[in-house]
Amino acid sequence: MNKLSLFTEGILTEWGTSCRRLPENAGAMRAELLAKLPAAVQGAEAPTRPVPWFSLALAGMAMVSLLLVVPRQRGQNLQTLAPAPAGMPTESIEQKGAATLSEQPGAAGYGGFAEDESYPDKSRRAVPPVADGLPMREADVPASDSRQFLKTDYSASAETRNVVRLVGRLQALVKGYDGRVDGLRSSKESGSVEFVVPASRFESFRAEVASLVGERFFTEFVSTQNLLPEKRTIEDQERQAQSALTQLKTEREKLGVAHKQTVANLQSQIGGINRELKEVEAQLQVTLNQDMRSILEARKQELLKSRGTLQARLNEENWRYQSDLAGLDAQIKVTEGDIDATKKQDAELLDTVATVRGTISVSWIGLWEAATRYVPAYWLPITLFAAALYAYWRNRRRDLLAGI
Amino acid sequence: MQQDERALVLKAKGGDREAFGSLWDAFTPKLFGYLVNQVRDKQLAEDLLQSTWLKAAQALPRFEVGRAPFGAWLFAIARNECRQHWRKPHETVPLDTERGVEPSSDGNSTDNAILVEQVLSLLPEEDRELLRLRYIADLPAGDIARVLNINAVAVRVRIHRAVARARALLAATNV
Repeated sequence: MNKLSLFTEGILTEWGTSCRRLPENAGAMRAELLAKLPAAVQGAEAPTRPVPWFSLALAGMAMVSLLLVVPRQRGQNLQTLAPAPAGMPTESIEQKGAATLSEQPGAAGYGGFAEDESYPDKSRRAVPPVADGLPMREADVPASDSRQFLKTDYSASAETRNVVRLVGRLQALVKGYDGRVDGLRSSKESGSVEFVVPASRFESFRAEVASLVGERFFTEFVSTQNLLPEKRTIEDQERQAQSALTQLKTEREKLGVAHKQTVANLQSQIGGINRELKEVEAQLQVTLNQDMRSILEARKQELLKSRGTLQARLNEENWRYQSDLAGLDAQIKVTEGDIDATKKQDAELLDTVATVRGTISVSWIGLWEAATRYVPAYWLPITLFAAALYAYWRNRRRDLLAGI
Repeated sequence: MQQDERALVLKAKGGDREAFGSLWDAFTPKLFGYLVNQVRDKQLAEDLLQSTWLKAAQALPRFEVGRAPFGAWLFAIARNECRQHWRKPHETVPLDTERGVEPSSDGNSTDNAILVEQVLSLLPEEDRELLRLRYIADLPAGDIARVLNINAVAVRVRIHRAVARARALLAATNV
């Protein structure tokens, strides 16, 4: 028979059985052992079970973590981000990080959305009331106008073990991206950086900011708003102002022309009267006939009276012209001021679109909280409880020879 | 642990000599056979047997019945006694396969036993120890795991691999 096939469970069992035997002097050995037994057994110490300190410590840590970590992590889920810059609109584009928001940026938006009650008659003013440099939004923008004037606002929250260092790095980062730091606050516990960076460099700036801290310790909020309605409003305002200015200048010109005509007319009449008056006076010089002299005197008085009337009309015309001219000039000046204001608004809008304003808040995080970022709330106490149970089981199954 | 064995251990812990004697009767053949196969010297095996039982008797009050099987505990003491013996400087005893085999009326059984001894001599000591505990000491995998301080699944896997290695060696050497 093939020996290989013989090497089976049965062969091994048979071998094992054949190996079992009693020693030759088994009886004597047994008797000797039993003789020593009473002293051996009775003199031995009573078993003592040591307290499983390690298991108890793990169980205690599990209880502590359950009481501390779980409520904290729930609180972090409700943590709000740093306050958004003033005028943050409601249209949020993207949000990263573990935190969820319980507060959304309010719909107050820019202060300019409210009606300006101090100037109810908008027809007299080319530029409607504004606040924060931008006019009110128009409700309807035609779909045919596909232009984009995107205003981006950025808000982020970072947690770190070294707040001062991170704030410093953020400040340097803003300057490195040709930005401007508008506000800086730094302490051991918390800090913030308010900044403006060019929109063209915003994405790379944002990526680098996110790389400064781990993803689990960073939350950001980006909102983008198309300022096309504002742009259209500014353009409309400018058009209206230009139209009004043109109209006013035309009126001024017309006023000047009419005045010249009127003055020329009156002066011509006065000139005629003056000539006739000279003739009458000349005739009076040579005429001795009393009747003729009476007639001439009467005519002279008539002419003087007419001349006086015309002179008064001329004076009045000059005065009215000056008054109307001053009024028109004032309106023109105001309208030109309005045009300058719309141009300034337009420049500010373009500047707003070309830059991104933001705030990054930095807060200090402890080691325990940092650990809970990696391990969700319940896993830590569960893991510790499992470790406690395993340690207890291992303790119970410890080395068989312990104590021997 | 078997109920009878458990009862005997409890009685022995209480000082019952007869109970301890019954334990001795039940475990000594396996224990002595294991020791003989381990040390290859009957005299030495007897000495180790006696010291094992003596230590077991001394430590019996500290033995917790529910914590470990009595057999596993006893063989763990025996293994420890062997280790302590090998740590002491002594003369090397040449391997004598004949000493481990009892003459049997069944010649076939003897041939098989010799075959097994020859094959086992080609295996590493770890495999031999597993097979001793499994087939001579007749300990279940869980008890062997307690003795060797490994888990029961590892014991089963290693026993399976030891047998496979033995077959492979047998095939390679054409014994």
